[in-house]
Amino acid sequence: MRRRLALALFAVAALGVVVVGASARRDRAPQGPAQPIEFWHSVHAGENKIPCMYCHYSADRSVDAGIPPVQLCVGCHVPGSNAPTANPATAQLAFPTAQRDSMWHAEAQKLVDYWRRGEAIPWVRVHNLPDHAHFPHYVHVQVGLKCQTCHGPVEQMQRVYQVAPLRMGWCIECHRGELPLSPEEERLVQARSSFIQKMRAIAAAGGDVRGVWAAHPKQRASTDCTVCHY
Amino acid sequence: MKRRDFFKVLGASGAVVGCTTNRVERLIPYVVPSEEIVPGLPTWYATTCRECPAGCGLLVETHEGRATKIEGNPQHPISRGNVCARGQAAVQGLYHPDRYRGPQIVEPGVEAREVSWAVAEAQLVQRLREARAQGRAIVLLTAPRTGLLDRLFDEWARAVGAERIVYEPMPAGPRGLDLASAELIISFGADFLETYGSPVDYAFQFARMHAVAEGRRGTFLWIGPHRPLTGLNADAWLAPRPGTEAVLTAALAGEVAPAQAAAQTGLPVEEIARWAREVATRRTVVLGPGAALAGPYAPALRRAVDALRARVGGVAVDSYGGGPEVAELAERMRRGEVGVVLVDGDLDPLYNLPAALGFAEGWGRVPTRVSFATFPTDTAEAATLRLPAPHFLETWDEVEPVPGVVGLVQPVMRPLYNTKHTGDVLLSVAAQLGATLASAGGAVTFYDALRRAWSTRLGGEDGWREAVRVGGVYPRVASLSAEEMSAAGLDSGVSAPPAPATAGAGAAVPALAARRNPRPADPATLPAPEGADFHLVVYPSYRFYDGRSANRPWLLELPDPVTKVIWDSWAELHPTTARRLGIDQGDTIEIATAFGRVQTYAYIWPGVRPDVVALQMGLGHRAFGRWTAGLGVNPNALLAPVADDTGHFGAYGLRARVRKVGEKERLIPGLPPRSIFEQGVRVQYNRELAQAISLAELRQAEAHGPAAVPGARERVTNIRGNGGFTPVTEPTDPAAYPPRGTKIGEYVEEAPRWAMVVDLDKCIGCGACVVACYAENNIPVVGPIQMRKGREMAWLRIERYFHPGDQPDAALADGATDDVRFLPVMCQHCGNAPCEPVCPVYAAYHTPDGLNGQAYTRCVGTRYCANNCPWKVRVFNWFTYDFPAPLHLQLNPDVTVREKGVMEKCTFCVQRIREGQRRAHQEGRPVRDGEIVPACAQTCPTEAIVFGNIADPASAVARAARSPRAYRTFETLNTQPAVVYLRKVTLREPIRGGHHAGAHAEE
Repeated sequence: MRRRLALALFAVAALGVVVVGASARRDRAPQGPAQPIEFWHSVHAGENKIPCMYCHYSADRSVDAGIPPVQLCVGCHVPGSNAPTANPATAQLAFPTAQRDSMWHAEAQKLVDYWRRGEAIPWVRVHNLPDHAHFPHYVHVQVGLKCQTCHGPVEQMQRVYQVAPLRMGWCIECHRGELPLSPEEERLVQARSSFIQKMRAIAAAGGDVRGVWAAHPKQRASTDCTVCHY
Repeated sequence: MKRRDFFKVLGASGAVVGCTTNRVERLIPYVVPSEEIVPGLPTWYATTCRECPAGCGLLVETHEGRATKIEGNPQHPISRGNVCARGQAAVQGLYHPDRYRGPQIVEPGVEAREVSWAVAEAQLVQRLREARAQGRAIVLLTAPRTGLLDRLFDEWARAVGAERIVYEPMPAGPRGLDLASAELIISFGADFLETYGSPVDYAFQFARMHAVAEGRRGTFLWIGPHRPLTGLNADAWLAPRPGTEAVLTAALAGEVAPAQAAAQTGLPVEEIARWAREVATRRTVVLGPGAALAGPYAPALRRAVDALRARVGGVAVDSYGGGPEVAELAERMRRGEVGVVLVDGDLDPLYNLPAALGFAEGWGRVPTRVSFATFPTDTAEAATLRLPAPHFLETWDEVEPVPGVVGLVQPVMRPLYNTKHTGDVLLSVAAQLGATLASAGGAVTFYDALRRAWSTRLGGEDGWREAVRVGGVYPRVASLSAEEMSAAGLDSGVSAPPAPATAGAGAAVPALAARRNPRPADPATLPAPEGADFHLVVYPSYRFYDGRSANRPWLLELPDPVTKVIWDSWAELHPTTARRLGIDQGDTIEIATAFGRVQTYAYIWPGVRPDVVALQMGLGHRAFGRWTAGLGVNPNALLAPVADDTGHFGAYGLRARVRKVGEKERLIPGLPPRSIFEQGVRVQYNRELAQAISLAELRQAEAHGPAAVPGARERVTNIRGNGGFTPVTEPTDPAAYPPRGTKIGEYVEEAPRWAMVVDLDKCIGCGACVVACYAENNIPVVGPIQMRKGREMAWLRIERYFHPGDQPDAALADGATDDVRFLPVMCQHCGNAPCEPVCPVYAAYHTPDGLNGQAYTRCVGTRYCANNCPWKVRVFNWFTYDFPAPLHLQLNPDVTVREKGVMEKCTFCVQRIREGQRRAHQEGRPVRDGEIVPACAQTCPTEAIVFGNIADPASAVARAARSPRAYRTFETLNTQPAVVYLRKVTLREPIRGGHHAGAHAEE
């Protein structure tokens, strides 16, 4: 009996270790996953204050945020390249000749190699949703949310790591108004959310919105299943 | 703890670790981005369909360089934004897994060898030189073409010393006719709603002239021994004795007394007299003879039809088929006189030609047999040199279906494989032989030649770019409002573009049109087997045309619009004939002519004359890909090797013998089925699903209100209270949905209520909507075995009923084809849905905007919802179905691909609704009426489906729902369906099912 109990406890402990270990997401490790090129957002979005949508160019108009094409990187980083955005002055900035042996030089050389081979850089995906959830970036960008609200302080990250759980419950919490937003974002969301506008219009016309607003008086967006799952 | 126990625990824990995933997903950027593509959004290209000669203008949706969905170009005068089932299935041709991937050299007894284009062309050049040196003929066999490729074919043949033969397997029919302003259409076996002429255009025009909703109410008379889908949409059917159609036609023209015609044709004299009167007094359009009447009887019929047509003011435009030339070619090939034969990719002579012609034997004797086919057709599989052309969705071309409409074919994506445009091959080979082709204008590639010619015609590069942007040069139609046009990125101006100089560009009907075969088959002298007391009819297929689109799985899975048979061939017999011969539905029968025999399954219905056996074209290929090879039977095996007066090989006029050779066998699991499967039932069992109203009754209802519609009053009092939804017994606005007093749940009042109106008076039952739904919603094809088990995955089906009552035998009675009802059935998105309360996990639920939602991720597969659905429109994923590469490239990324264990159904294209709502909000405006169009409504050639927000009283769907013809199916169950049907309008009083059965006599 005692042996059985010990065995059971051991099994539970082993299972627990395994489960906890397995659920420690790689992506949430402070460093983030290693990428083909050691690209630091802290240098580009942080120190050089390049706007998010300079590279992630379709975030405000498409369901996908967009990954910068190789040509975009080349525009600054490859001196003498044919890229239309090649600019000797900025290329100089990104390619300090005084430190030809530095790690940055090696990484930028990797970029040059990809460009010369005509090959796409196979970035490791950090933020991913399952195929059955359709997330339209542009709706969220246009309603006034900042990229950092969901993606965290990317401009301070060296390697990108996932900050938000990206689980459906987390999305629902924000849709229901239970996740706090910055005052500026809250102001924009209140002004622009189609859901809030519709609710206000119905209430103004004397319609019945209690079914929706009684449960979640601060609801910002629809929580209807078919808005995301179809 | 014992060591073994330790290892057991460790092993179990290890298994758990294996349950997590370390899969890394990658994000692949562009290297140099395309300026046109925004990742995640579709990019649309205008092009022209090449599935048949009609040349409908298309807009093709692509996602990141992959074509995913075909839609019609709303500005195009032929398609008007609509596409038929074959056009929708064109993407399955593009992504067919068995396409040729590159040029191949085939040597006898050796596997096909993949070679480079240089090597393949070099071999062709060498063989051409050899043939010339040996004095053997070089023959170029092409389909009728227009435009640059047509001219190149001619010039290449002259330059190389080849002979060009133009062959058309079945009469294509004239395009560009005006049907919409006709008051009477008479069709002699011309299936203008399916394959004849320009079916998408003609279906639209037919709805214009025939449908009550369009205000006009023309009449359509079908004449022929067999009644296909087009015939079932006719108001009347005259089936004269085979071979006597000419005298009937003469009677209609007033040249012969009706009594004389009645005696010869076996038709009632008052019928003939009545229609002769109609012809004399109403604006009449005469169509035909169609492909089903091609054959030995055609010459006499054509003379009479031409005379009738001349009398009513039409022009005869029957194209020439080239049959005698092909017959002669077969003879020369057999004699060894031909050194090289090249066959256009659009042709499959080894399939389409009568087997008795001996073309296959002759073909085998030609040392160099070249095929340009994209697919492994029967002909290409027997070739020695395969030079595959690209699919039309990945290449350039031009086509001029009617004068003044020049369609540009442009690639909507990069070619998938190492294919080369036939024009490029011709230019390259000509250059290697030291010849230049003048039409190329000095260009080296077909694309350059095309572009130069267009730029010149249109006055420069700007003209070319504009033509590419809109898919050609054509007078634009405004089938959408100006707002809708600009929302779709089309300009609303309908100013006429500069007319292209089409002189020499190829007339709409090739110059061979005037040709006639001086020695057509004479029905009197053709041999017949002993006991041949049947007339043979071989008619074109809506799904497969002449066989060319039989390799598309969607089209194989789509039940035939008339017989509802899937994945197989059949032969149609009249019920009295079947009784006489002791043949049951599904028995194996042999049909034999003097020239061949086939064995297939019997289909018993009254849509053929008792002395006729009818077979549909399209199946019976030996090759043509994994789903089609060996499927069905090829009726061309029965034809005589003599062409009719327009040079086509047809069956009408041949005598056939029919006898039973086997019983229908029951389905044995694991073995191939030994009979056909007819999906659905033929009668409505008194359920009043597809309802009709006569024109007279409709006028009554319009004058005295909807309560004047027969049965309306009883129906309202029959509705039962159901789950909090009390029936509303006073007449209410049908558009007030759901009616007052029936609100339940979190429905928010001013949210849109999505609803659909289907006009059964316009629906012709073709099934284009079904294929569009497959394309848009990633619906898998399950194949014949699973379909026989009732596991079809179609979200939308077309029910076809011959009789509203509950006697299945009524569908076999002679008048059963006079009032056939087609009913498109999809999820009705009931306001009081029976499927919603029974889902244990809330996967089936009601959205605030009136949709019956299905959350795939919640579904655990109890299937209770499907059990409860009265319409049985819910389908279950019994397996995780395969989309064999590269068909998976067609999948719509905006719709989840479902897995095993999940229930699915029509969503009213919720992905389009959400997209439309988001876009509208993005632009700061409300959703416009007509902006959100589900795939089915979008493609319907007759525009029978209207969709929109029924809560908006001004919307098209609300206005349509207020028609006195409006009703809902299974209304008495009080499930509050969001789909409203408009009754079909009949000339005579329709037979009624339900408790009206027997109450009204059929006139």
